[in-house]
Amino acid sequence: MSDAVLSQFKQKEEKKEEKAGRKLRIGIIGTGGISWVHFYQYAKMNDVEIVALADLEPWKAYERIEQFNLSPDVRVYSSDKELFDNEKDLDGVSICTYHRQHAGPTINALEHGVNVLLEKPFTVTLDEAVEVMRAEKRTGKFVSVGFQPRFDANMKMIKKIVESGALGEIYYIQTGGGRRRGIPGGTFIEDSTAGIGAVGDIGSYSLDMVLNAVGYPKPLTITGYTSDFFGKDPKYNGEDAKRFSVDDFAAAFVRLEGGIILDFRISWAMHPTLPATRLSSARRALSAFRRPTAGTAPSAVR
Amino acid sequence: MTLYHDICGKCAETIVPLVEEEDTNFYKKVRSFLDAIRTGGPAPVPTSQIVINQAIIDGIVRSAKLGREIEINIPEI
Repeated sequence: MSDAVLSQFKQKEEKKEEKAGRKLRIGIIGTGGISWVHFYQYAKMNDVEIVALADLEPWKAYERIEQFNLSPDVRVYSSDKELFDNEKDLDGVSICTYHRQHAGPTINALEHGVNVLLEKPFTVTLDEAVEVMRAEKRTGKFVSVGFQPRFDANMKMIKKIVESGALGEIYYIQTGGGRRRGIPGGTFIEDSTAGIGAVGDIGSYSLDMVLNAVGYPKPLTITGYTSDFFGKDPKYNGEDAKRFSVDDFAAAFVRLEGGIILDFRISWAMHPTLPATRLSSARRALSAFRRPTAGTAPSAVR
Repeated sequence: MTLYHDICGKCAETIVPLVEEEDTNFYKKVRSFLDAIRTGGPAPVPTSQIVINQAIIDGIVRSAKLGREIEINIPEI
């Protein structure tokens, strides 16, 4: 291949970050779409070394090695099991697999003494989430869930306003958001890989935004609804309509501890836009109209 | 963001300015994970919080299938 062809895969030169101490040894499990962000960030940092990759389709991992100019010594495996059987001194892994493969590889990592940065949604089911937490407790290792909006200044401001007491005691929260046309493809739309649709993909962001602001009260009861009118309709979803087997819309009425009502709705596709996030007390209310960051409030996406 | 409130008995709105900054959230997500590895935890976005997020998602799916309201119980870990 000519230099011109090869150089197109090179990343732009960026100032490498200096950090004392030995390099952290990182693995990445699942090298599809979202893993790009993880590769991109790790590759910028001087105190990190990507040493091993796993993907059911290993060619994807080899493509990332080329794309990010990684060392040819990076090991590639075709499963998380194979990776952990062979890699004995990892400090952490990013898990970027499809949703149904979140819990298994995460528990596997913890059992091998490796900390995990797990992409959202946490898991598909509550049972899986509980199993992951039991593995954390058993092993003393930790899982951080990949909600980047947590680090957004405006997200922090919402929490700060609530905690300042400026709102008063909140009794009613509306959250969620609606894409009018924004159904993803790939592994996101089949039950066998994703397990959950819009409710997990973008609903989890909206829930985190408000629940984190009010201190994550426990849910007591839920009335939920999901539908798939747009995902299953070729008019809106083309060829993908045939294999679409998750929700494209969800709505719920959730009673939370502390006398708070959570009114939630999320869509990948529907006709109207959906209202903003609002937190109401008897004295005041706060409304966040605009999406403060990508992926957080899906109403502004597509 | 907008704060809705009363002033002297009248409905009023106060604008809370948005912070405009470079989007470094993905960097912070990864960096905070690495820093937590170095310090031995705790996790920057801990499962002890996100399990509640997951319980709600799980509850929505189960309630939708059953067609009625359900009670949510998160097991002790």
